[in-house]
Amino acid sequence: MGAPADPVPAVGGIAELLAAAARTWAGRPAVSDHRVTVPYDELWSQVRECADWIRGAGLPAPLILVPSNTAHDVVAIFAAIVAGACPLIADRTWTATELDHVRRSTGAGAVLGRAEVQPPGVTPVVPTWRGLAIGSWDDDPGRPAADLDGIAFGRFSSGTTGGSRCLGFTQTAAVAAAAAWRSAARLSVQDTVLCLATLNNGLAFNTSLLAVLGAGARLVLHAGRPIPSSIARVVRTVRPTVLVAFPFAFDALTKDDRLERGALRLAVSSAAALPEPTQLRWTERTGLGICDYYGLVETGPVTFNDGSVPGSVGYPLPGSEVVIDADPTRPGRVLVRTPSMAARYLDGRPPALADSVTTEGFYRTGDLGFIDRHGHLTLSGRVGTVVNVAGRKIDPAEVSAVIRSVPGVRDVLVRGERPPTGEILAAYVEGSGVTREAVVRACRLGLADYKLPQRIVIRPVLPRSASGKVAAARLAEISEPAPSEPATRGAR
Amino acid sequence: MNPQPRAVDAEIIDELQQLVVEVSAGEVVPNPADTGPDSIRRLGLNSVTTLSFMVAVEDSFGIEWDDDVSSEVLAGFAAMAAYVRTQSRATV
Repeated sequence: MGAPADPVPAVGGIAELLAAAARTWAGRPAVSDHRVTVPYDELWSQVRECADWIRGAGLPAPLILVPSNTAHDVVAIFAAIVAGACPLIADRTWTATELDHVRRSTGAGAVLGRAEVQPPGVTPVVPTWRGLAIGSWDDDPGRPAADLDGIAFGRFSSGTTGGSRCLGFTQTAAVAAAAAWRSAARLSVQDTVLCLATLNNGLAFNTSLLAVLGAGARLVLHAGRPIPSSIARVVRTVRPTVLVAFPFAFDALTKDDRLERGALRLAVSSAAALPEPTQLRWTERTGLGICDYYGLVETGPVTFNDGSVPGSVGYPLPGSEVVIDADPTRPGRVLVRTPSMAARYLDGRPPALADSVTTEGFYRTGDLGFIDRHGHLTLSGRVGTVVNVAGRKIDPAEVSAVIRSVPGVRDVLVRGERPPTGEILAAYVEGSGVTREAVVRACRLGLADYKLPQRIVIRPVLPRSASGKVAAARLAEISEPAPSEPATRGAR
Repeated sequence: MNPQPRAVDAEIIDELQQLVVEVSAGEVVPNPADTGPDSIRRLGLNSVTTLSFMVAVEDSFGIEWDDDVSSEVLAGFAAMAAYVRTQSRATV
């Protein structure tokens, strides 16, 4: 039986989209992981079954959803939305401390995720469903739930003032984001999208969930690590037409003999600048460019680049607008208006999202960029202090706060630095009797792995300006190990 | 006669620790005496450096990591050395 080639219309909510997809593409494969393939009709059936299970737990919204990369986690995300549970879609690498911060700031009382990785202090409230568990925290921090009026789900930004911030979205925003990406990437029933990014991340969320399922394409989730040997195995097996991955994977793949283009027609990376040699090697090996995805949690996907304009993140997606707040041909702050913008922050912390939106509805990003005469946007830097390490954004203030908690630390400055190998996070610590091991231990307890600083310099005194602030410009002078402390930077 | 696993592992551990120095561009220097459980985890490699380390191990020893390799193997030099030794034999 030939399947209709037209995508389902981008109207209504997520339930309507999934129901229409089930009717249209019934037995075709929708989502695969290393264990199962779920066809479209079964996906919708499982979403409804899982939604009933979530409702049966009888817990108030919102709940924190910690997805792994399996087909059942895709079901859980949609089911929690359909059930009205307002899932706040968290990062599975977050520590218990980070999850605790989220529940205290949003009023979430429960967590949904794989049964074997439930955080400490959480007790299951209902029997598991296909390996998923819902648990509630044993204590009540007493914060009322965020204002969820009209909000279907939450996603997290890195924040800029210490700790992740949760943004609330409507179903309309999610469906609009998916439709825009599907149209630009020309996704169809012919496509198999291999996604190596985790489902909470914008790269996966905006390019590989509803966008794929609204097109009748097949989504393949990769449970292994994004290293060439593992990727090569899955590429040989599933023959993807679209590969979605972070820059590390592309960089590693281009250095590996096992790279095969196969059926690949589109390669999507996140907007961490890919080194030019990586792009060139990739094109040489595959004949394809790399599509640098530009999107923000606050706005959803913004631009699309088919890979034909090196260094650019492309042109605005359908319905989106990008302007530069000064002369557009010279680097200035990038302002963005999309149909997939977040409604508001759900954590009650200042500043409010509205404070970053102009009266015309443009979100003032923290990115600098310019637009060429063909309308292509190129990013050239950042306004704020947020550090982008291989596509993951990190707020230095959050890392500083954790390091300050180490006994003996008097002051700390955390920032991004750019050695030839790519941007890294560096921590300059002033203190007495402070060891690298103690700093690492504190970071491991309080921060996800991707936030760990890779350059840790500990000194009794940091250079300071006349006003007494740490002199950032003079930190390079002390970044080499001191002669009397041969292993200060290392772990000995 | 083949060398004893302990002697082989000591050589592998030495090379693994050198690889950590290389992939971290000299920012992380393991203590040669710290090779037990969690000895890698204690170094504080972030997720990107950890992946770079895994790729470097594959390249240096000619092995392929199993997708379901245990976290204990990735957390300590001695456990990783034993895994590398076994995988190397399997691929010979």
